[in-house]
Amino acid sequence: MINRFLRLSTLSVAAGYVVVSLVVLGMFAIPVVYGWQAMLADPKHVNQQLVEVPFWLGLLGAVGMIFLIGILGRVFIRKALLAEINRISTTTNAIIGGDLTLRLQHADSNDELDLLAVTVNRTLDQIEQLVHSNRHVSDSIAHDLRTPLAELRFRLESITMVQRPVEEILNEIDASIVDVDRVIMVFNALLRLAKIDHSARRSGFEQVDINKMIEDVVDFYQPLAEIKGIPLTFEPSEKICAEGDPLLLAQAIGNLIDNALKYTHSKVWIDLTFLPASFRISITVSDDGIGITDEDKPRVVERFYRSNTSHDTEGVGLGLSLVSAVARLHGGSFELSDANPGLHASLLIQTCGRRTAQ
Amino acid sequence: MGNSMKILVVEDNDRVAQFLRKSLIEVGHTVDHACNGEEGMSTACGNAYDAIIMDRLLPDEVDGINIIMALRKQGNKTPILILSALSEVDDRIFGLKSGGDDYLVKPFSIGELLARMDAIVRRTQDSLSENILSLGDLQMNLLSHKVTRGEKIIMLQPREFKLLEYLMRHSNQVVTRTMLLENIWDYHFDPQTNVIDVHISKLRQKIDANCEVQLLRTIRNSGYMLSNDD
Repeated sequence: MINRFLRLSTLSVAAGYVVVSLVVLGMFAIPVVYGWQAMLADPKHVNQQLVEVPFWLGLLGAVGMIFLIGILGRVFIRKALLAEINRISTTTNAIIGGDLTLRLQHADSNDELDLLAVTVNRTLDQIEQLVHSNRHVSDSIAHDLRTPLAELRFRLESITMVQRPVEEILNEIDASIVDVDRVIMVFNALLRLAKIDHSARRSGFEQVDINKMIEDVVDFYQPLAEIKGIPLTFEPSEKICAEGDPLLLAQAIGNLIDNALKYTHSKVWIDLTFLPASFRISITVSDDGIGITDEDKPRVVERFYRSNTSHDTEGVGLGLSLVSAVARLHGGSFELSDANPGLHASLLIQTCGRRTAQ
Repeated sequence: MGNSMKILVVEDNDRVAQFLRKSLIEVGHTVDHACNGEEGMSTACGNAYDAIIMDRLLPDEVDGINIIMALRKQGNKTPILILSALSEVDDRIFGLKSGGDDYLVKPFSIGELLARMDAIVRRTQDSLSENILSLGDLQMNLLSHKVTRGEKIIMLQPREFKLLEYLMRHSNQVVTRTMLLENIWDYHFDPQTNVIDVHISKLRQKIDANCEVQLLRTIRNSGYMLSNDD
């Protein structure tokens, strides 16, 4: 719809050129036909002037017409284009003004301007989503930090209000330090996430022996599993190497194991597979616990999102956001599926396709 | 712990500097303070210190890293702890490569700082070449991997052995959870759950079970200490 006018004016200019071409052809034809006839009638006395004058007149007229139509065409096309651009800039100005829901209008005609409008609209969708999630994050930060800060304030205030035994005061101060540490922990986790999202950490990439990396993390979490009486198992596969940041991968797998140990009933197990079709490695941490509902699945990677079932467990709701960010940094994805009962949490990462044999 | 050190603090932020100074003096150290790079450089060159606490980002052209590199170039081997707001592994590696002995990210707890100061000062003093470490009646042989408490032989898993070795090497010193994470597992992140506490309690069950003297102690707000003092 936006460029019907533009198309119309282009068409009219093209038609104009066809008319001019016909006129010019006609004007050239007159002297030629005239001269031909004169030559046939009296080959010896062809009146040169009679041929020349219409010829030059015809040529001049044709050139004039071409200029005229060219200029008119330019004016028309310019006007049409400007109208389009004005419309785009009015919309974008309104968006700059703060209304992120506006979109450029376009027809489904697949011409260049339409394609441009579609691309711009897609960018706007992305921006709107980012802004939305940013807003959600700041709301959550405010909420998540306000709680420990309020608690902290209350504690410190209560210490100064009445005389208390020293032991009690020290306990309150210890609890205050725990509150502060929690705030610092949230900040650190957010900073780390922001860094990963900006892909600033690709510098930490190296060849990682995935089996070894997983074995180390499993070994690190093993005592926690033992204390809960839950078998935590990993069967190393053939040797698989990938370009990656070993620390971030370890932290991501650690978070998955930690979550699985929190929610499982009787066991946690880890599988490592190479997917030859997509040149990806899949590291899956599974448990037989309560799982995550389909409704919650896409939301658990959102920052600070905590499902109803997880509200009573400790944690700040950033663990899976980190896993998802690490997956993205490694050109992969983070996927959740049902284990019936329980959950498969898979970290998929890209490899360059090299599978180092023994 | 206990032994008094002479420490230079190079830190441009007044409040942080005062806080450091106060805390270090309280535990018995002597403290000099330099508030910019140039002053820090000249003070460090002109005096002998047991340790230097260096803020990484200083206001002038001479930042903390430059000073450390210059000092090391001159052959100065004073243990240096870098303080920084930059928390990434790369920043850390850069700091350590330029000659720092340890790297602590702001905001930090004073317990963490003191423990790390102790660790870097001791590291430069003791040698790593011993094969047998002992503390009271607890002995560990690093070659045969045999660990005994008095007459009793203690069976440790490899991860427990590494943990005990680190604690033995830093006996009578406070060791924080982050120090254990970084030095034993080489992990530079907070695990969501305090897995370290679980590692320690497992180890404690093995070495301190049925013993009168508890060697592996928890230090309030800081971490742990392997010690046979009362």
